Amino acid sequence: MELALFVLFGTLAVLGSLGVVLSRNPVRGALWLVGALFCLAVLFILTDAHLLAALEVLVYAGAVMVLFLFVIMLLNLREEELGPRRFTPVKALAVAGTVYLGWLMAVPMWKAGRVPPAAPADYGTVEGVGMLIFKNYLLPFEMTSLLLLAAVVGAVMLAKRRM
Amino acid sequence: MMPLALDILLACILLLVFVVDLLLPAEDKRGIAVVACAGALITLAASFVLDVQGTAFGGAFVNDAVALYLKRVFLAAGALGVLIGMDHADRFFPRRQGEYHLLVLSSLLGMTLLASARELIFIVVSFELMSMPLYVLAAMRKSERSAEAALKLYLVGAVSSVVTLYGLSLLFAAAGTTMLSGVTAAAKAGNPMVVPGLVITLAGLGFKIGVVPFHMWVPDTYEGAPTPFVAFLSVAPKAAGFAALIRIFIEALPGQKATWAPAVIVMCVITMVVGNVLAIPQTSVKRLLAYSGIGQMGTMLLGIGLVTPDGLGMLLFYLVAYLFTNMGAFAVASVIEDASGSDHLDAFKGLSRRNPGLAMAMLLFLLSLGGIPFVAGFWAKVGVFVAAYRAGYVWIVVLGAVLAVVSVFYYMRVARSIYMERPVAGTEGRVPMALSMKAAVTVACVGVVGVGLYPAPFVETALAAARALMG
Amino acid sequence: MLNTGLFLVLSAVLFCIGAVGVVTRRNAIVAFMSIEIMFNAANLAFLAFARQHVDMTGHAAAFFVMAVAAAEAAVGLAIIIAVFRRKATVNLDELRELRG
Repeated sequence: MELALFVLFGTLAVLGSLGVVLSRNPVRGALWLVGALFCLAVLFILTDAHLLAALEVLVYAGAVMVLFLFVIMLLNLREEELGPRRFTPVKALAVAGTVYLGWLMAVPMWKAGRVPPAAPADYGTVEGVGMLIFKNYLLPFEMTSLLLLAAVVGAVMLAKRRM
Repeated sequence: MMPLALDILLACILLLVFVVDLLLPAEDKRGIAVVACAGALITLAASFVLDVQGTAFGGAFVNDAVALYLKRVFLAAGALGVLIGMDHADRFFPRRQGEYHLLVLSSLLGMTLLASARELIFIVVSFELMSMPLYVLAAMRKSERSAEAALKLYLVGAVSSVVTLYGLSLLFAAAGTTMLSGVTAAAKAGNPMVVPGLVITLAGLGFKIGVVPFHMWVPDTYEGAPTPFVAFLSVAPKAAGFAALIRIFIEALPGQKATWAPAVIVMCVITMVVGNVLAIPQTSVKRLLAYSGIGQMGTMLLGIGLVTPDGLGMLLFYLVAYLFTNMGAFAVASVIEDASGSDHLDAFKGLSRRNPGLAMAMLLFLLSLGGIPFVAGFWAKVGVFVAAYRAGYVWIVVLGAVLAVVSVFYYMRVARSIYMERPVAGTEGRVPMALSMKAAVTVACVGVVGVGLYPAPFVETALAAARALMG
Repeated sequence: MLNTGLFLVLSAVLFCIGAVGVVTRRNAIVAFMSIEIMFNAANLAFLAFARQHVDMTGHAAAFFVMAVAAAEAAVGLAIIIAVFRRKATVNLDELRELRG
């Protein structure tokens, strides 16, 4: 059962990511990405990361992707501005190099994996992760709030016209 | 005293800047820069007065001698950076001064936290707190180039963040914990994920500090971004990148140096050669300083690659010398660019007749960058190369000497424009300079000469910190 | 529970797809989306390793990565708007004013 789910949603996640990279129209790419993120949320559940799966849907597939779609629509790129589809030798070389690097990475990754022991009841729940974040990682949490403040200030300022 | 005192103080000043920005009228926001500069200076002073040594969060946050040293470097760079940018901000984006200084300070806060981070999540978050404001700051000039410079910086920064992150996830896999002490233990036990993890992390951090082959963004970003910000960008985030390298590689993985040290040495040799050679044909002073800065990065990286207390100590000392020298040089470039609208070598012609004081200052900075005796840069270069000689890398010392001669050649090209040539028609008058900029250039000059004449206290502190870290 | 190696290989594959996108696509928005894929691949690796060690620190890491990536996306898109407003293009090849 778990394996079937993994194969199904893993394949869909890969297809969705390929869709992002290959589709010429950014709107389609963004929609592919939303699909891929949903599949990733399912995969997160398969690793018993329940809270993170919920956040993936809420924050990523929800908020971040809406932002992307919003900007794409705002810019309203026309067909001619998308540019011709070119396939240069440099790109082919880049693809080949990345595939090779991926192979180099995938082999040790496969070897590193094993069937893990059973997880405790609070593993990956809101309570379990929350205790960790608000006790051991209080400082990064507060730093993240300052980071978001800086990002909001910066983004609003850049989007304004008058300096 | 609590170890977090300095960082909390800086965070409070950051929020104070936010509030002051709301209180000041839109027409005159010059007060903010004063608050930001004073805040950085107060925090710097507090680092000498308060006793902040110690650890917090179970060792994830540590204020040891190296962290304190680096924090002082960051805070000095931040204060000087705000001083350099004060007048520029008021003239070119008067209504956005609050945002500018808020972003500089939040980047600075990320740096001071990064210097103390000894845990992977702390490192990631503080690194992002440092980098993200930089992307926005690079886009603040009105010209088209500025937004483009920001886009390039952003793309490179985001890619390097995610690559570093992936490497850190492998280190987490090896250690089973995010504490760097756990990573050390896993490396000792010979976990197979340590080596891929550290290779990917090294590539990601290499991007950030702009070593060859990850250097392409540096000149473009320096050319397009607001020049006073470049003065800050060229020094402080690089020093922070070294802070992360020191924590992850020298402190946590010294036992693996047979794996990573040769890679770092190769990177640093290539970086020294490429940076110095590509600087030769440049006619834009900012691009020249960018390429020469890449070369300097290579020399500093040697301090990491040697993995000796001497090497690390000299890297720390180099950062101080580089801070005053490079920020001073970019400050002068900013004055010229704001006055003439160009940073081409022609704009510097005859500066000695137009403004002898400024010309003298620029000459000092160029001499220091080139490593001419008895200014700060000389001791820094000599120190690093002596450490390399002691570690047995004689060929690097020879190469470094050759490249130093090459660098003197292109630095002196700028000096020749300033001293030997007539001003271009239409630019004969005195270069206008705001009081804050005069103060900034003076501080940089005093720093360059002071560190050049009395290097001993700085060298001793740096070496003591390095020895404390490496045992 | 499945062998975590499956998740790790998938994460490496997604990471590489994202990397190919960043290197080959010249539309800045698509490049940004490829970077988001890479962030998610890193998160998947963190979660799989966390499950393997039965240690929720990996969840905390993924949580912070998500927050950071969201903030980064906001800043990146604001920069894209700023570029588009001045140059009316988001094609990285056409942004050639800066050399190199």
